Amino acid sequence: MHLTGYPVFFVLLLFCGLFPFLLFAISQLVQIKRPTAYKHETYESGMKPYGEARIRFDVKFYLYALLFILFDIETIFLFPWAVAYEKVGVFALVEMLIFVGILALGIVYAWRKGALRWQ
Amino acid sequence: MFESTLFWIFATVAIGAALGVVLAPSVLYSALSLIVVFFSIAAFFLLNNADFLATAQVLVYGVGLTIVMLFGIMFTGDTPLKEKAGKLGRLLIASISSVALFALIFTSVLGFNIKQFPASAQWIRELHEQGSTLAIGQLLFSKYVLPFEVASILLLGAMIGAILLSKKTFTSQEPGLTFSIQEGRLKPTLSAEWRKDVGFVDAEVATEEAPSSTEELKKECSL
Repeated sequence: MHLTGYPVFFVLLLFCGLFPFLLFAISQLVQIKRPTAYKHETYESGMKPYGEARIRFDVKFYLYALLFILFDIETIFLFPWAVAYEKVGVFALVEMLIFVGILALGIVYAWRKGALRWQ
Repeated sequence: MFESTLFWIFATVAIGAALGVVLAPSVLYSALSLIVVFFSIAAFFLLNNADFLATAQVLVYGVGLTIVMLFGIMFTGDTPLKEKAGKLGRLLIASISSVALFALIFTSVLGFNIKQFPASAQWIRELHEQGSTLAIGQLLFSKYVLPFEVASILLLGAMIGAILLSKKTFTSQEPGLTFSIQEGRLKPTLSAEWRKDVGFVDAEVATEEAPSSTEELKKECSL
């Protein structure tokens, strides 16, 4: 490992790893405990949290997973562009705009087809 | 020293998590364990100066692939394996195939000669100083700009395909595509809804409904 800048990365990693524990610890320390039966119930966005947790989900969610993957891969292409931006200049900017533009057609298509509308 | 310590830490985590994938009592736990495996492999890439590979590993495998897998588990339900019969046979097949796969990977790694890709000392120094992401970015926007743009069209095609296939839900009662035998030929018919969705303009309305005489011959196939 020869690259510089990793100490910052490790500090960030450490911070991210410890932060959730820190939040829970602070919450434990400062909270006022007046427990009631309702407060002990599992919170599930206002719904009653009864029944099986492992229900079968509607397949319509899958479209969002697929779209997510595609934009995830788009990010992979955007990343080296952002890193090399100062070296590759305006040409790369135009190329990247074309790239994003072509993919934006997909979003326009999804929008026109109503694929993003919740049914 | 620091690097080898990191390597052993991540190696332990990776092997432990990989064992977790295999031994976890539920598919869901296996999938969550797999995320840990992918992240430790990203750490290996980082330790080998492959910073772009590490990023891609986290973005594509650690996040993207596991999301698809978790969605798959959510759709199918977490039903435990019912059949215990033939466990020995399955174990045998699994161990033979995994040993064979390991042998394949091991021999191909051994047979791989890195010297066949000559790199100048200056190039290696640049890579070490700047990282591979910058080098990939520079190549992507000079020499390989056409493949880069073609990739966006590939992604667009995948996106449109995903939307088309998952937008409408077809059931066996209302299939998107039916096959009927007319005049001794197999005739595919798109459902009206599918036609509308694809933007199919059809001239003849008569083909919308199959004649009643061939109704019993009609074979359905839901898409």
